[in-house]
Amino acid sequence: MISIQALMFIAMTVGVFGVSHFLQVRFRHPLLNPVLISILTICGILVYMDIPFHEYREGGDYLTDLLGIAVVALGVPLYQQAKDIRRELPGVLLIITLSSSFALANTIFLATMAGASSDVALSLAPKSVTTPIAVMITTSLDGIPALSAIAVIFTGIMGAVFGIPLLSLMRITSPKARGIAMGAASHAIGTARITQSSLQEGAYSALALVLSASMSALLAPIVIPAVLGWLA
Amino acid sequence: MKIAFVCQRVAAWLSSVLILMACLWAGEFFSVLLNHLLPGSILGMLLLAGLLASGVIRLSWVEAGAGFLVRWMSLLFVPVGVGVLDHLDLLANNLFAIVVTCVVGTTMIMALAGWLFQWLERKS
Repeated sequence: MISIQALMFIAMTVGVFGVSHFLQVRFRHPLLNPVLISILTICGILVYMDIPFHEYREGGDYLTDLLGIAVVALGVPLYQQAKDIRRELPGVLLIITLSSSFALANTIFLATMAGASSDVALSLAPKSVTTPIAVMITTSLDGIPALSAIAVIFTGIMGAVFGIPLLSLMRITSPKARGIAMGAASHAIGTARITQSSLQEGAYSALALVLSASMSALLAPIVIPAVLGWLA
Repeated sequence: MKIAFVCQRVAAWLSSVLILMACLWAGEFFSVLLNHLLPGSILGMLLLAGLLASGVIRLSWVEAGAGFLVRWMSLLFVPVGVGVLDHLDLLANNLFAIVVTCVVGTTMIMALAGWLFQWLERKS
């Protein structure tokens, strides 16, 4: 049975998120991203009230468990765009193959330039891939899974907060291209954000999220050791 | 009249929750078969899209729950993010590399994928 304490933490998370969501609707500033604001607020509350993370986690895990079913639900926008998508699948596949290889190699390169050791660089490499796959890639290459999880979330929030203005700044105006770019760079957190602005962008983002997760899982064992060897 | 409406809403919710969970379970099952090459949730999403496309499932059966979940999905990332508290030392030791890769790297990937696709779209 679910404990009162766990219920309290769930209510707190939903409440904080509700307020952050309201703030965003009211003021419409990109920095007021509800995910970012909620994480910072709850971290603040936990630290201030001296609550250890594992106690919060008891409640938080119930919400995390719902992620699986929420990802399944993304199948609906994917289906709604299926007619368009089928026609463009070869192009999308080609671009995701390129962008996934680039993402892995470029991240290792940047991390090494920023002074990271090779096991840290390796763990950051799958940061643009959704959490379960990123953790799996890092584990299979003997990296640090916790570091991958942190980098994945930072990347997602970065995309959710700055992604939409950045896309406009880079003159990426086609809804399909915007979706693909968001899904390829900022996985599920970016997809959740862009789905709110349009379902078509969301569907292409979900497609890019799936394809880049699969591609990265296939490419990582080849690309990561090769780039690390080249940099050493 | 009102009771019929309420029953309809409840039925729509029940059917969507059941279908989504069935897809997730089937996805988890295939994931084990595929040696965890892809997580169950992603396989479940592809399965749901496939079942909708082939007409086995009607959109009206899943719309209620799926729409709600997609709309509020962001909330579910909050506890994962709060998990950072458990790894503050790892974060502090690698802060510079993390910030550089997440800010610069993510922007570069976004630009590459977006520009390439837009170029391809305009060419064809």
